Amino acid sequence: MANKHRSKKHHQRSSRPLARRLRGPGLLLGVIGVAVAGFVALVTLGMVSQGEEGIERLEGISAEGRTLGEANAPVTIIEFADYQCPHCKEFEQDVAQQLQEEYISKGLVRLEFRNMALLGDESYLAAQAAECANDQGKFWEYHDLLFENQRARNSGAFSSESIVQYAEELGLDVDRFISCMKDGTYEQQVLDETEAGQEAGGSGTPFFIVTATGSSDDSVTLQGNRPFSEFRSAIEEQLALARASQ
Amino acid sequence: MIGAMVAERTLVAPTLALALRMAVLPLALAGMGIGAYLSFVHFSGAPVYCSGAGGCHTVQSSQYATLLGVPVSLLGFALYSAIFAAGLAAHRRGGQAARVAPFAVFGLALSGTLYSGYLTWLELYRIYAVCAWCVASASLLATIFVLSAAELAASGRLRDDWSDDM
Repeated sequence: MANKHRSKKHHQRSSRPLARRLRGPGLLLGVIGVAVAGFVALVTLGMVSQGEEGIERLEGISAEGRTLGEANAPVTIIEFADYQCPHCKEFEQDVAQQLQEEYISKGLVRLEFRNMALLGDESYLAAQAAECANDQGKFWEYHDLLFENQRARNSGAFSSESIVQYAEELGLDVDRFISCMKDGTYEQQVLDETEAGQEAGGSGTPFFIVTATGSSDDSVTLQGNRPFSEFRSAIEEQLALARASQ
Repeated sequence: MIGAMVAERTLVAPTLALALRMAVLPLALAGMGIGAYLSFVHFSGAPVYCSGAGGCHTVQSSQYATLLGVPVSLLGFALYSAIFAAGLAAHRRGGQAARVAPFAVFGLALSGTLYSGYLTWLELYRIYAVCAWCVASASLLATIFVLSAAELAASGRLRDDWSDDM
């Protein structure tokens, strides 16, 4: 009889909901465990997904001819820019020069240019034109000329006629240049790079990814024409990561 | 004398616990407001109103502003909504939901506080910009966490012998 009574009581206890059976301290520990696990899961998910898709997408698009600095520099800065964007021009005239003097010329940083044509038809044309100039080994000259001639958006500074005129100024093979443009040789590449920049987190231009060369795990992004001091902080951090991984 | 002290204690503790439970609700509502506003900015592309140093746009447009394509602000809105719902359930008299709800508020606030601490670290050392909205949200979550922990202690729910009838 006593056994029967104990068995019934045991059955009643085990059929109670788990949360009700757990007393205060046990329930608290369980909640803390779940909360911490949730936090760790969120951080891990973020680390896995952030920016890497965009960077991976870029890996399939050659940057040959569009880089400054040594190929094996420990840190790479990927610059996403639009030739019609005034802040991109400011970056080129100011911060880019300081980067050149302090890091690129010393073999510490490699700068890689990517298109992010967001500001209309002339941005798209200018980006393709610079790529066609790259075919003839004059990317940076054409790039500089475009920024020098930047005016109000879509006002003719980078019209079909203007971009051919710039090609003539630089002594490019104009027929080859026009053919490159007419064939739309770099249409898809410009679109792909623009999307890659957005996937990496860029919502406008200029946008930068500062990363230890060959590893995007702890890359840093900078949105807008940030002061040189911010670039320095990001570069020094990535240099430390690059040294640590050697 | 001892009887009076016991009576006073049994009256003060539930009153304090009730006040702490009540305080969570407006804070959760404020957090829902911040989450809703920043989600609206994200989806509409409208310029974000930013006080202080003005780093909100930089933070909002950084790669850390979304998690698997979902804006972090929307996750924040969902978190505050869950805290608000649990906070309301904690006010019910008796029942399983009322018993577990304060622990849920505590757990959600703990998770949120840890994650917003991580986001603040990202702002300082990865994005190099601080968003006043994010700081406000992190402060709200930390406050809710402290209040919920105090409520658990004041209500006596952490005792082994605590029951719904207490």
